[in-house]
Amino acid sequence: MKRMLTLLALVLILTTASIAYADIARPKPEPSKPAEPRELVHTNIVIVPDSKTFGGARLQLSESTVKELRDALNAGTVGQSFTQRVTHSPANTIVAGVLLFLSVSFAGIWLVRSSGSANSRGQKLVAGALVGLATLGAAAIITQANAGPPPAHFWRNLTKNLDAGKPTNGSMVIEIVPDSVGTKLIMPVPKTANTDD
Amino acid sequence: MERTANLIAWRSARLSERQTRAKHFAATLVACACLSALLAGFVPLQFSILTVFLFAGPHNWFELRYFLTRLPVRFGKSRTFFVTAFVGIGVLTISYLCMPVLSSAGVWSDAAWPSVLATWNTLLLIWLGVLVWLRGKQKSGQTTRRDWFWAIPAALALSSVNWLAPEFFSLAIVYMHPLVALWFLDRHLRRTRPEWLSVYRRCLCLLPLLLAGLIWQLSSTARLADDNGLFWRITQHAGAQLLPNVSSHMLVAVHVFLEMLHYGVWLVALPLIGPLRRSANSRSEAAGYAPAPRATLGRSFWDIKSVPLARHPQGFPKLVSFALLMGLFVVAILWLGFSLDYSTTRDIYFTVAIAHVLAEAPFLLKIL
Repeated sequence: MKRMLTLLALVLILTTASIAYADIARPKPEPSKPAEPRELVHTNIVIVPDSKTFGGARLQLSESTVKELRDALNAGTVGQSFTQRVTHSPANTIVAGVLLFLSVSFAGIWLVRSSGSANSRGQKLVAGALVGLATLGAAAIITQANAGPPPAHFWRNLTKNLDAGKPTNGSMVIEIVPDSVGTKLIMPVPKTANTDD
Repeated sequence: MERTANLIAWRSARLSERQTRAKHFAATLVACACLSALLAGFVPLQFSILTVFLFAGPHNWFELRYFLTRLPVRFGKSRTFFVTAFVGIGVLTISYLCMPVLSSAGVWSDAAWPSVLATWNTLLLIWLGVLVWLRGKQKSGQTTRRDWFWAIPAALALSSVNWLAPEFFSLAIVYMHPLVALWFLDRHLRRTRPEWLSVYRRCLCLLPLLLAGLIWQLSSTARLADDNGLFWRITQHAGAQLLPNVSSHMLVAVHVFLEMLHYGVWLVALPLIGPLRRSANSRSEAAGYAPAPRATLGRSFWDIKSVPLARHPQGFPKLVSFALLMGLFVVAILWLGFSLDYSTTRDIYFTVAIAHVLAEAPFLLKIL
């Protein structure tokens, strides 16, 4: 009898819980965030001012760039920046973390084993280098480092060159954006002080 | 008294002769490095095509010969080291060759490629770490106590970094590998021509200057026209796709320059200074080897008996001869392949060449 009562009580509690859970109001749908631009291809572009062209601006793409663009559209992952690749691959980050943990553990064992030896100064140096390496590894994700000067560096003289009728050569990223944004060419030109006033 | 004066005069003459030779050696090194930098800077693609065609195969043959020269007849206490080395070279080479084949067969997707690459790099690093540790264990039994266990945590830390950007790690190997030859030369000079060592190390200071000069001059140049398959392959090999913000002209030039140094060391410097005459001969004779033939450099280099593995009474002269002849045959095949289809042969060569990259590690460790 006692067992029956316990069973009944359990069924009652579970039923109530499921009803209560079902009665929770659905969360309000969050307003959808605008889709982030997807980087597809890194390429070079030369901006050439041409006083003889009357027809309007033209964008000339080399055959290889078009091929690269087509491949990137098909593959989906090509052309992602270093940071994107790191942050978008949690499995790789997990493995990296496990290996770093193992490295620090083995380094600890090594330090403990050899703390009494005469060569401990050199070993401390190597241990310091290992810690530095680990810090660099972590910093690589955080700082969004990229080799070479920042792309904007090549565009710093764009305004002057346009005024002087000279071409300017620099790198460019082709991005895919939602239709509402439209086609834009965004140039990383630094602000100049207004000297008219 | 007169004899003493003669001896002093003879010694000073010999010293000045050695110094002159060291100066000639330094002048040749500097001239070759500067010429390579100039050619790599001005015509990087053409220079790359020419150097790979001419030197890729022969330098591998010279490396094979060098490794055979350094191989003992009996492994003895080095058995574990050599077994680990050869198993590692075999497994890593085969897996490296299989990777593009399996990828093109659709075994894994393009998105999984970086993980596959990272796994291979991790295996490579752990193998290197174990080799360094084993070598340290061997050395601890010889003269001073050396604990090279640090290599294991170092390999694991590098593996961790590799998992964050495997393609960059592979690119680093492409640029670092040519520099290993300079380390070989350093260790070799220390044994055979110690009087040249300080001059050589001073010449090495020129290397960062030349690299800085190349980078400074070419960093803002327009990227190379990689509109045909071959030029595209060369720029990709130098990392143009991975480093889109860096001029591909600069990347190819730096890579070709380093490769040229690598070829120069293996094809010219090491064979010229390499007969291992003074120290190694006396040691090998003490170890039961027959004395090496006393002949001119050119003759002794081609003489099979100059390889200790073939010279030893219990050695393998036929096997060594066969290996070297096969090597020459492969060099001829490579030249034929380059003449018929340069792009495909270049691709195949740079995939198979991983074996010589891997083989350098244990042999370098053995002379440390």
